[in-house]
Amino acid sequence: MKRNRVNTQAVIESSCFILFGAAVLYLLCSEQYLSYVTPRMRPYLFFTVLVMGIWAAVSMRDLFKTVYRKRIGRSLILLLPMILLFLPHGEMGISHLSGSTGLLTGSIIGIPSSGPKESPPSDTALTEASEWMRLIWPAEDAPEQRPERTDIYLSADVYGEPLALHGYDEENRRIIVSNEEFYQWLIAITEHLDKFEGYEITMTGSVYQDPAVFSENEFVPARLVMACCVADLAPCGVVCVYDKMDEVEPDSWVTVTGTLHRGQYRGQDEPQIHVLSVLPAEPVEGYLFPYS
Amino acid sequence: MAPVYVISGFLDAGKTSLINMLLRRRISEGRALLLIQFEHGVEEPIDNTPRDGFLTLLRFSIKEVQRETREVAGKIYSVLIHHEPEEIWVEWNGVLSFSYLWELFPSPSGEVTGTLGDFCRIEKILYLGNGKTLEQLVAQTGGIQLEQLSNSDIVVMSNTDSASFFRRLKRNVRTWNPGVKVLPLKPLRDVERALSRPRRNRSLTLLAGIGLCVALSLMFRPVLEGWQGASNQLDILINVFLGILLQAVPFLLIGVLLSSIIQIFVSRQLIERWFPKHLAGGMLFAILAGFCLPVCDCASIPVFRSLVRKGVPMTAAVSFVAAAPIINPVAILSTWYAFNGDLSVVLCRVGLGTLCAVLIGMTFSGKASRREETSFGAPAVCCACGWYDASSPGRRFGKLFLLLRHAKLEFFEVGKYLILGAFVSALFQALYGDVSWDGEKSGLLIPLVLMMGMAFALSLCSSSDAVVARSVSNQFPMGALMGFLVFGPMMDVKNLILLSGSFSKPFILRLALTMFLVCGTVVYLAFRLGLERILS
Repeated sequence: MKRNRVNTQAVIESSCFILFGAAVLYLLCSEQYLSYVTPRMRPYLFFTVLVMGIWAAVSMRDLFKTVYRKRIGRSLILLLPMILLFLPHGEMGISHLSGSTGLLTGSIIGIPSSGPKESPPSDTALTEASEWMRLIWPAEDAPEQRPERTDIYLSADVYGEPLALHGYDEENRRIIVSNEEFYQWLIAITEHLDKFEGYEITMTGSVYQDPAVFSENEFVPARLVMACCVADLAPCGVVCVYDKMDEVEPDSWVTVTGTLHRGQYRGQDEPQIHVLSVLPAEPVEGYLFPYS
Repeated sequence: MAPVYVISGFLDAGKTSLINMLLRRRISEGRALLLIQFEHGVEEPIDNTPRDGFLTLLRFSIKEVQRETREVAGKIYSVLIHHEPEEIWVEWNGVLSFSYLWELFPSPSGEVTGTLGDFCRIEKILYLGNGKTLEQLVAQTGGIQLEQLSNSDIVVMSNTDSASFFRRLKRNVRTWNPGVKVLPLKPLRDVERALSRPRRNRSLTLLAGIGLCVALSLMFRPVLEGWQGASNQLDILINVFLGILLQAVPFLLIGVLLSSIIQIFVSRQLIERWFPKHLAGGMLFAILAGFCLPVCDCASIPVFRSLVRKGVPMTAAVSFVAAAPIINPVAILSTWYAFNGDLSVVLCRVGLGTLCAVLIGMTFSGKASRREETSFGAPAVCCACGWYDASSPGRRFGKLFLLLRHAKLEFFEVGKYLILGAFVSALFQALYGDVSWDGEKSGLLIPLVLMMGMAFALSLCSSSDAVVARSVSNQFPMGALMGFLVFGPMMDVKNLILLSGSFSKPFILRLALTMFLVCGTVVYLAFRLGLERILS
């Protein structure tokens, strides 16, 4: 008997599965998936690629089967995200969030006592975290312990695990915050404000201003923090006090150097930088992932 | 190329009388028709006295078709050559697999093959069913009825008294054959219209539409660039949509795989025998099941669906869908991390979540819920995934393939609602991203409702929403955060749309409202009664 004609539904379905799997794999390999979700999703996305591959094979089995009611439209649910993925769209920046001191965008994630001004510190959670850390690493006794290398500062990450921070110069009381350690330094500075008061600090971020919260001579060189997915990006950074604000372009990328001071917001202590210089900087790609 | 209209249905569905009604007018209009009957109906077909038109009648028994398919095709072939009918009508036997139909009428290939495909092509397949008995029939005979139902272009139901009964039936039919046109037998005019409507290629239209949108957005991109607000909003829309989707798709896959395992490997009898009969036992099972599944809300909804289909009592199933996203290990761990190892917050979330889930489940012990249960009675036995498929392998790995196939179909079915849900949620954020709130000293009720509303609109994944709650913990009282943490995973825009694929609107509305009210009340009361002090 003559062989049946090729079943278009099976062809379209398996190509959609393959394409979708390939797109996800591409995102994974190029690390572009980090523009949408956190590194925590990595194993799950690999699982997705695997399932897509298996389903493509399952659909292939029906390649020569006669199907009267062809359901081609349903493959669109795979096609649609792919089209959007390759449609040109910018990465989210501060400008996408400006003007919204909103529920999920205004305050810093994770650490309670820094970031844009509206976050009054409530140290309980953090203290508990460090207590917990001491339980697990009793000998560590955290940052107070003197590290052997003077260019490294020992701190704790959001889960309370010990973390070595670079760019630290205790002798000259200077900190140069690298882009990779932006968030970790932020926590360290906030937690040990006493120690770092008067230090000279240099950090790079995108200028975040919000008239509702900041005074006229204040801005934050901020980076964006992703907690879960791109839907909950929030700016974080240290408030800078600067008299020549007309030199600062909103949303532009700058490297700020200044001295750390203890500031006040709503009766709570917070770190602030008294700016010495503001230099334009290259945009820093990518978001911060404190919870991965 | 003569169109072939196939009328199928179980034995006494009334196929012959429907065909008589349909053909009478056509003959009086002067058309030459061929009617092929593959069974002897209760009613005699239209009398063959030529009027203005002409009707040729061919009859074959099931045995003839099964044993001598080629000979039957040959006979039809010669009639087609001699009479050249304008239309061919087929009264198909309800117990005869459609695979014979495909063999008799292969789709035209454009070259001469010596088969019926040279002269005619199947234009429409209509399944006629008795509304009163259809679900039972499918449950009992499954196989071929489902094959026919799922391959029909039009499903016509007789004996549908009330509109609500018909709606329920329609929903069930569409679980077997998504998107099929379902009509009541009367008025007949609608049926005739549906038969004569040319086949639309919806996917082509859709593709063209999408192509147009892409082209437009590429064209207008430079224009939008100049206008920052709009270009920003488009960026947010695409980014947030992809973010939610990439986050949800893996979990949805886990969900459909789990639900397919239940569907294929757990029989209804097993559930009937082993599922705790007592209310408390059922609840306990639901909570434990929720605890054991490391999934988020996207995954729990397909599982919920198959639990209901397998006959798990509604109270337990609802408790499960409410509790699972909150009390599973992933959510517990992420809450613990987000709140810097604060065990009291974790306990509070799990405790309140379980309490709410049990209470919500209890409200579904009434009669109305039982009706929702029974409306799933028939699909419980089988679905359109290939149970019926004669060619589906009974060999080794047969069940595994069935599982994968079922999961694939379920993914397609639920996936479209996920896409829609993610899109609505992204749209919401692109347009109304600027919700600002100064939460100092404004009591508990307003921020609580606000946070629950936010949880609903944002549709965050329950595996990581705790972090988001933590991020706003400076602006909102703990009670409001707890509302966010307890209500958010149970119900949000995405879940609402996901559910709408398989449940009736009143049921979903009731579920959403109950969840909102119970969570709100429980959290509010708990924090009014002093839970705040323990947490702070």
